[in-house]
Amino acid sequence: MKILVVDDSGMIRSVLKKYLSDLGVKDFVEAADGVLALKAVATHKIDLVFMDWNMPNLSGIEALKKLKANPAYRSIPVIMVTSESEKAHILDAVKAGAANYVIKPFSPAVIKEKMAPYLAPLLSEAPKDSAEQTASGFQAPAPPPAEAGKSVP
Amino acid sequence: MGNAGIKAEHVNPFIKAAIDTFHTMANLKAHSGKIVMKDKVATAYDVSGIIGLSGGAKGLVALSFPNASALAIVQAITGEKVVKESRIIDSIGELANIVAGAAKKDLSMFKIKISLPTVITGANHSISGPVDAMGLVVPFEYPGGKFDLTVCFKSLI
Repeated sequence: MKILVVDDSGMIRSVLKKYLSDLGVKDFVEAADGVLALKAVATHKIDLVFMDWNMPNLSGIEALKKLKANPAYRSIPVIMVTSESEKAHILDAVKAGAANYVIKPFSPAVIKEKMAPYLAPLLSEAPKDSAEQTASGFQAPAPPPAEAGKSVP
Repeated sequence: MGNAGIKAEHVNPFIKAAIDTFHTMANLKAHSGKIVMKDKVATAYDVSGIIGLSGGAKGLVALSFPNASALAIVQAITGEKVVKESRIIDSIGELANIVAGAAKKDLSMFKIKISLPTVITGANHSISGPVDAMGLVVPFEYPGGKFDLTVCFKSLI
């Protein structure tokens, strides 16, 4: 599973990657704003996006709308991660097609809860011996060498 | 509502948000001290993350740290032992953003909009809010450091 982490804060990208790594996700692409996020989606096979809301150049909500307007990327789940916690903002995100919503500050438990729907199917598809080896958490398959690089602006 | 209009109910959401943010992101208990009212200008520590407030209120929120305390909180949040200056600057700005964002939901009557963070570095710099808004400074301590939370707030409603 390859996850695109979009936030203008390197600290938040780092923390999200740490929490997701603890869940077994090992393959990441990073972007620091909505423009770079759209470029990353066009150049990598992204399975899921964590998207900040308030970013320079192109906000997360605008990037989300552009993704959902493109049939090629519409099916990629986007989880908004933002300090915007009012109901109106959450409704805007849902209306724009966000799969879920994480409010900053967030804990590892919240990220685990939001990731559960995406990790569970992969766990059930994992080979039996692999599943036994990773009883304490999902272990994502190693990425192909050609895709192991990251695009960090 | 003029300068004297700043009330505890305007500042308490920011105090709560700062405590929640430290607990959730760094697993640290931050304790607030005695609130001090500052007239226009507040002297800050070495690294300050500042968020501008607009909408139904104007002003700013700032989190200001001594260098060592800024390093300590960034290490606690990221788990990184070696932290570059650029990471500290980014992180302090983001912390201010998170605190401001979390607080504004408890100030929904003002329909506050928050700016992207600005970070100022340098020893003993000053933070100035709008000329007609007073600031309240709340000192905090946490294991490994301390910081000041400055809230300049004037209702426009």
